[in-house]
Amino acid sequence: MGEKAQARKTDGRADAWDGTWLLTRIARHDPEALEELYRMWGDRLYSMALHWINDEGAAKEVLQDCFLRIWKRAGDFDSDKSRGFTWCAMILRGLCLDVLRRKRRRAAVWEDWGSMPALEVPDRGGVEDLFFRDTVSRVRLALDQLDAGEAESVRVALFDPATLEDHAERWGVPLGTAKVRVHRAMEKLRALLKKGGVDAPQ
Amino acid sequence: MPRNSLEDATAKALDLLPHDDAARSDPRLVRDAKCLEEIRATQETAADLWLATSPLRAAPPEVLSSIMSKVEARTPLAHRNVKFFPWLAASGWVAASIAFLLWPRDGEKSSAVATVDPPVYMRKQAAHGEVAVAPAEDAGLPGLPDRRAVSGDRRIREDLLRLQAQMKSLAEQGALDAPRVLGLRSPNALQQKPEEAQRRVIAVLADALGSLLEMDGGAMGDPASIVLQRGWVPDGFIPSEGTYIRHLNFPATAAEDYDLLVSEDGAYYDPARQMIWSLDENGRGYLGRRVTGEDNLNAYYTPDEDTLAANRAMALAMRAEPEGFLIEDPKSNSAKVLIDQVPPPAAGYEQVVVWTDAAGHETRIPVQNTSVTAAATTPAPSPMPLAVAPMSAAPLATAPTTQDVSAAPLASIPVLPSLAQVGAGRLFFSLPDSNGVKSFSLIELPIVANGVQQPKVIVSGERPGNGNAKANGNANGSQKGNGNGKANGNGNGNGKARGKLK
Repeated sequence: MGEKAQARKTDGRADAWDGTWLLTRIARHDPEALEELYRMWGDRLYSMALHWINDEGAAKEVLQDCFLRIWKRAGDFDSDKSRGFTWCAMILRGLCLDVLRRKRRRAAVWEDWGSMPALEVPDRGGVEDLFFRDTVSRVRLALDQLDAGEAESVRVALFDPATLEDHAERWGVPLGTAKVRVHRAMEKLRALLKKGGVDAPQ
Repeated sequence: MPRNSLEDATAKALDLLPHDDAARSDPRLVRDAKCLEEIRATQETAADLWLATSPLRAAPPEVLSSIMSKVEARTPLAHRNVKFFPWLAASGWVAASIAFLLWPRDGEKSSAVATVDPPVYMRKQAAHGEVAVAPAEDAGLPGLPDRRAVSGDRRIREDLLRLQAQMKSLAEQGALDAPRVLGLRSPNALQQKPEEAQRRVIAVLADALGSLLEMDGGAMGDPASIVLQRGWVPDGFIPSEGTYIRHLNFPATAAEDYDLLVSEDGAYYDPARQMIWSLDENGRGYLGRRVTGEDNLNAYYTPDEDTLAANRAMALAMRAEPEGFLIEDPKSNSAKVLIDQVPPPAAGYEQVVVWTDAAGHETRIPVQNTSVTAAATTPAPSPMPLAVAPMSAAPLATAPTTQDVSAAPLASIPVLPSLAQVGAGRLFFSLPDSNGVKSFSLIELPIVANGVQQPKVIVSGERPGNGNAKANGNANGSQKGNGNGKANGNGNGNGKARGKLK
């Protein structure tokens, strides 16, 4: 494991999140490991898919395709480059984007803009596990630190299936400016999350 | 590092780059450490944010079932875990108590799908149940029964789950060691070592249970939605992607008969239907599916003449000898008998079970197999609804000939289908008052007694120390081998038959 991965482990989160050991077994085609991974992360990945595409049937299909892709590509997972959960979530993201972009292509009028998920942390009634609670807390605090423009940029970057070209057109700015806008918003959010959601004194 | 590279990296991390954006092919985004770190950090942030803003919902369990069934089907055999019925390996007493009464299906055109009512598994000293059989539903595809036509699969599954729990309970009580197993072999079979006999008991049980599950379409994670019992896939039929076909009796000569290519690992490629057939390691035949882009078709080749000759020899060798076992439970004074690969009787003959208890009392029970004979000689154009006799039988007062015995409708053993060999059947029944079975045999007798012809022994077995040295295991049959003075080989029944079938 590389230095970055080791460093990530030291922040106390990796123990709860690290699915590397399972992904390694899955790469060796161990079906039980895949089943364990589903039990460990299936709820979260399903929740994420359902929240974004807002269609139970499609969310189930996406979840299934996600795990089948994990099964197929686990050998490509590199713990030096990514956390296990992030790697799985990005597979899910790609599949969700496919669904939403197909839907958008089919729709005569793109109406999902208004129904795009909000950047709000829902009340989970205390059912989340400790690490989940920590993530929720950090995200909630971080979002509070973003101004409206930054929050909107993050929301669009995260949940709008359109490309930056479309966003730039909607915002009335050049593509390069749209890239900068999203990059800066994500950079700030990242920095806030790293600090536990609390902005450093200016 | 140009600033815009990091911005491109952020956009790339979130799949936001336009399709014609030059950054898509910018090598810095995949080589530069800062860009790679930007991508990693952006994706982690996105994952955290996405997760935190999503209301928590439970993942549907059926998605897991679907995933695992697909994964199991795609997993190379060497990588798969063999855990088809882990609970089956311990012992057969409870497992053997699933009873479903079917006749062997006949003819190449018969449908393999039966509508199966819930099996009533046998409890100790309880009345034994039955499973009725109805004609198969038309699956809409000639020769390819759709397992989804099977009704009652949910109930069967629930019964199996209960059975599993029951078996676990018995194991915890240490009761699995109580039954005594008597191997039943054909006269032509080689002497088995104890460990081999034990392995065969488990294998026969697994096959019996597997047969039940074949009726339970789509259950227990089986990916196959279509079951082919024999014959071949109809011309012009190409399965859709994701559809699996299980062939329960994959012809050993399939490569030659249907122009298939073979691979070193024993898989087959059917170029005409664009299908791959792989051996199911659980012994449930072969699984066929449509070729995908992941298949390396270059691994398949036309078999040489030696291989084809070996396949032909294998087809002959696959006609296995009948075998079975009797499990006696001293606690309940009952026994269960499972005999597989039972051939249909010759014309004019019928099969009879004969067993002797510790006191020397002999009991004979006819096997309800006349339809098997008819089916073997005259294939039915379509499956017949089969009248199944209950497994409760009245004591046989006399049985001078098997014809007479057959006339007693409640005193016969029905034949189940054996999926292992076309035309063969399986017997599964219970002896409620076994009283210490000393010898047991399944023999074949003329329906009309001729007084001279000796019975043919299909399988037999006896306890060590039994005084009947020439008991029913004699390959030539015996009219004098039981030591109790009662002929059992010429169709003359035993006037003291006391056994009941439940």
